[in-house]
Amino acid sequence: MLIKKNSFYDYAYRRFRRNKLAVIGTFITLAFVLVALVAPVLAPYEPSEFFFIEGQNVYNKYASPSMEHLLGTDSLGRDVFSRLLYGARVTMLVALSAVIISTVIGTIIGLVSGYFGKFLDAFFMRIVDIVISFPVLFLLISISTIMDPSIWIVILAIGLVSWTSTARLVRGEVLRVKELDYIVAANACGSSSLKIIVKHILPNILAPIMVQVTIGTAQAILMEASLSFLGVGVQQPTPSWGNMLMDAQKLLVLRDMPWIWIPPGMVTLLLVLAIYFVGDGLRDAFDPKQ
Amino acid sequence: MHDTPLLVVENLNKHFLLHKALKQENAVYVKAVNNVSFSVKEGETLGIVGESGCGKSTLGRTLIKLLEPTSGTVFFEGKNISTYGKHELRILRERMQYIFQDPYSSMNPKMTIRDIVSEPLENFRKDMSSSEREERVAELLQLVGLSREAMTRYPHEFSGGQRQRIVIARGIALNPRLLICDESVSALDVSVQAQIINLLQELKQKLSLTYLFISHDLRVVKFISDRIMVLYLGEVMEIAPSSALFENPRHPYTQSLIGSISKGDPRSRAERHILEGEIPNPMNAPKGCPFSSRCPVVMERCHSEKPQLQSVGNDHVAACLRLTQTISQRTGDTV
Repeated sequence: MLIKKNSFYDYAYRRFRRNKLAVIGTFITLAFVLVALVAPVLAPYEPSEFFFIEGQNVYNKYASPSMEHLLGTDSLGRDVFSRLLYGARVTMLVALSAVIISTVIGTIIGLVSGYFGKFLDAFFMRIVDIVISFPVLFLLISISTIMDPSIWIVILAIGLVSWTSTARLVRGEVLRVKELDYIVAANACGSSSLKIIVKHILPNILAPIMVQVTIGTAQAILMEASLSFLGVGVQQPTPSWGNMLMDAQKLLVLRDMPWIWIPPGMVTLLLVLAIYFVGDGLRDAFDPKQ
Repeated sequence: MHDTPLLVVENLNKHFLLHKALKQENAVYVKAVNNVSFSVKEGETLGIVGESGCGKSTLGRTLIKLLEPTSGTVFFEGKNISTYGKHELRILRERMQYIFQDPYSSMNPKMTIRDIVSEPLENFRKDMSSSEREERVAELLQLVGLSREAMTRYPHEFSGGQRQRIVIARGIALNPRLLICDESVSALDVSVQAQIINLLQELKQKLSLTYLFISHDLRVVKFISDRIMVLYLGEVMEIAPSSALFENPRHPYTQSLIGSISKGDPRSRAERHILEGEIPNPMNAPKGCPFSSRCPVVMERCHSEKPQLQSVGNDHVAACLRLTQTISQRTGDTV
């Protein structure tokens, strides 16, 4: 097994397994990941395939659910169910890539700030302050207006604005761990700063970082959804749960055609909730005081 | 025992800045180590005792340069190490090692014993292959009385005494000349304390080590030390050979410390001085003698005049104005 017996992670795993909500959350999350991976197999149609009313040259818009279209069709006559499945891929790709970016940036900046302190700390923490006070939506709207909007810009944008909480968390953890005797001991036996950071500090603050990663993923999903809903995130025809909700901006759709907006809304809610449960479970499992 | 001093400390100061101030004279400092001078001969064990908060650990950490001294010089093996830069400091780490107080927090909980003990080897014996390093770790573990199987386990699987053995193994991995033991047995049970002290004595013989043994426990210090230094509020009160210090303590503080040791006999009604009050806040230490606020035999002069260390016997120095008085009286008599 990957986890060494009786190690810290072994105990954490046992505590995690006892937490029912966290286990359910894990299964739901994994189910979503699986669905996203095999979307082309499960989806009955291509996500941006247009359907016409039989015998006429008119889009089959807003068709209600039927055997042919399980969740009906949207404003352009595309199959909602197929778009939902393919949307899972996009949503997860965006969320995971953004979280990787934000975790890498946040961890490095937090480690440097916390470990070296003084000028570097003050400098990076002011940058954090600046990034936090950025009007994210305005920034994204400007970027998508100036540049050719693509999924990678959305990923980059979410990643570059959401590393601040990780940086603060890591910095705080480093400050806590840095004063412990084993770090001083590593210093006394001649280890370099890099070695102390990588071998002594990082493994001991990994648990809170992992919690932050799960919660960050949920937040990135929500952020992608709201950006796409406003039309500055993932662009048509690429389906994402957020831009599928765009149709719900029309009162008519909101009132009379729930099959268009309830499914993407529900899966977003379900996935985010499941990931939060996993995050909470991890937090409890990593806390030895429990 | 040789007579060449391995470590010579001259007027060492470590002051911590507490409050910054615009004017330099308004800044508040905590004088954790104040004008400390002493020397340690090769192969000797110097015990450092004092109440908690008297600067023992700060002194130890300043000596090994985990803390930067405010002023003063430290000579190690005849070289002035207080001016050492980063590179030279690394070499120093090989010759001087530090053993921590708490064996529960001085090992990285995420590392195996093998990784913990071989860390100094990785840093300084780069030419060693990993199998050679593993052999050396096994050898070190055996030296401190642990089996080879300990290598693959984690610190939390060991008891306090075993952990301290592991910490000692790490400390001696590079064959240091000087080992600074900072309260190394204080966190352990009394029975385990004795085992660790015996181990330290044994290692001293085998590896011809020199110890600086920091502790608040006079009985432990008495047992292990050749000479003892008594600290109070960051200042040296008395330095004497172990036997002389216990038979004939000259400083009132040392006297009361020795008086406070339990005799192990409940019927013993020997005279005891129990010190009143707390150790003063080092932020506003008494002006004259640091001990003047609690001294049972305090004089008017003590509040304003700082006593200097003076010889009161063979290899025996103490800092008390009463001693100066008796000496000057005596010299006055003879004139």
